[in-house]
Amino acid sequence: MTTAQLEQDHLRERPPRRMPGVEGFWVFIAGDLGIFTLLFGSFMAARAKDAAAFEDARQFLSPGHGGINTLLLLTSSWCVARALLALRASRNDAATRWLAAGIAGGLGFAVSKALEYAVKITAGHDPGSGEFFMYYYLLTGIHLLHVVVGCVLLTVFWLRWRRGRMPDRWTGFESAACYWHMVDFLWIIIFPLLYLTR
Amino acid sequence: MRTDTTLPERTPSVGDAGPGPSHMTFTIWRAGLWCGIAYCALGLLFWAVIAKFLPPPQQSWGADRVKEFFSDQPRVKIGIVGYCFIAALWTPMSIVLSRIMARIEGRDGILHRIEFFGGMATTFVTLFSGVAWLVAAYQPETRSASEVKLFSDFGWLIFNMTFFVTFVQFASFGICVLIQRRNAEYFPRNLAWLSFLVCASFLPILGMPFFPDSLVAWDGLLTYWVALGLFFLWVPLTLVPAFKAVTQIERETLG
Repeated sequence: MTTAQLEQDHLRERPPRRMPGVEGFWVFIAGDLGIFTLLFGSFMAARAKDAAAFEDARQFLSPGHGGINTLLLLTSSWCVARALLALRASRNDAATRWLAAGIAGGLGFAVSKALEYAVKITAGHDPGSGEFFMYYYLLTGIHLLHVVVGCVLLTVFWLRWRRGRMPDRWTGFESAACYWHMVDFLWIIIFPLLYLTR
Repeated sequence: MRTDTTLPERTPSVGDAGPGPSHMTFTIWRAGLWCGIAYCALGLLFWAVIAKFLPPPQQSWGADRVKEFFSDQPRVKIGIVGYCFIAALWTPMSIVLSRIMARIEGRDGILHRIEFFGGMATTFVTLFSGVAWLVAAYQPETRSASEVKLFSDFGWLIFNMTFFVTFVQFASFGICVLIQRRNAEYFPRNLAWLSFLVCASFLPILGMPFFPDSLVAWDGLLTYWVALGLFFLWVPLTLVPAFKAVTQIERETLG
C-alpha cells in the first residue's frame, strides 16, 4: 500500500473536523472577546493620557492577591478540561469529580475577589477614587460577572451528572468548557494589565 | 359550588372562528417586519441625527450645559416627537417574530409570549423616555437648569434602566432559535448566540447609576456604543431570515 493510500485511509477514518461546542456558540465567544478588546483598548488609551496617576494608583493593588486568583482560575480551567476528557472517555465518576473541582476553583476565585474588593474599599479605594480604580472595578467586575455565570452553568451540568444524567453528546458541555476557558483567558490579560504593567 | 369533575368543552376563540390564513395574512406579516426596519432607520434619523443624540449628551454634563442642549429649538423637539412617533413600530415586528416562534415551539410554548410582551414593553419604555426628554425640551426658557436636567436624567434612566424588558425579549428569541428542530429551521443558530451577546452587552447598564463618568455612563463605550451598536446590528441580521421564514410558513400553510 502506498503512502498516499495510507493517508487517504487515515483521512477517511478520522471524524470530520469541527469547532468544539454547539453550533454558533463561537459567535458569542468572538463577540464577548471583541467587547473586552474594546475595554482593554480604552484602558490603555486612558493610561497613556495620564500614566503617572495610573502608576500611582496601581501601587495600591496587591499582585500577590492577583497571582492567587490567577492560580485558582488556571487550576479550575485545567480541572474542567480534565472533566471533558473524562466525559469523552465515558469515565463518568471521574468527570463529575473533576467538574466539582473546577467549580470549586471558580467559587474560590469569586470569594477571593470579593475579599479583595472589601480590602480595597475599606482602605478608601472605591470606584470613585480616580480613573484607574473606575477601570479596575469595571474590568474586574464585568469579569467577575462572567465567573459567576460560568459557575452557575457548570453547576447545572454537575447536578445533572451527579444524578446520573450523563449526556449522549458532549457539545453542550464543550460550550460551557470553552466559555470557562474564555473567562480564564480574559483574566490572564486583565491581571498583567491592571496589576503588573508599569 | 361545582360538584362535577368533568371539564367544560373548550370555547372556540375568535381566531378559531374566523377564516384561515390567506396570502394577505402573510403580506401583513411582512409589513410587520418592515416596521422593524423602519423603527431602526427612522429612529436613527429622528433620535440620532435630528435630536442630536449621536453622540449623546454626556452623563457628566452640568445643569447649564444640559439646558443649553435642550434649548436648541425646534430641532430637539422635532427629533424627540419623531422618536416617540416611531416607537410603536417595534411592536408589529415583535408580534411577527412571536408568530414565527410559536410555529417553532408550538402554541403551548411560552417563549413566543415573552417575545410578544417584551416587544410591547420595549415600545412603552421607548415612548416614556421620549416623553421625559420632551418635557425637558418643552419651554426650557421657563424652567431652571436643574429642572431641565432632572427630566433629561429621568429620560436617560428610563431609556437604560428598563433594559430588562428588551433583555428577556432577546433571550427568549435566542432560546427559541436553539430549540428549533434540525429538519425545520427558520433561523440560523448563530443568531441565537448573537441574541445572547446582545443580552450580555446590556448587563453593564447596571453600573450606570454608580459610575456617572465612565464606560457605563449613558454616553459610555459599553452602554451606548457597544450595546446600542449590537442592538442595531441584530435587527437586520434577524429580519433577513425572518422574511424567508414568513415565505416558508406561507408555503407550508397555503401550499
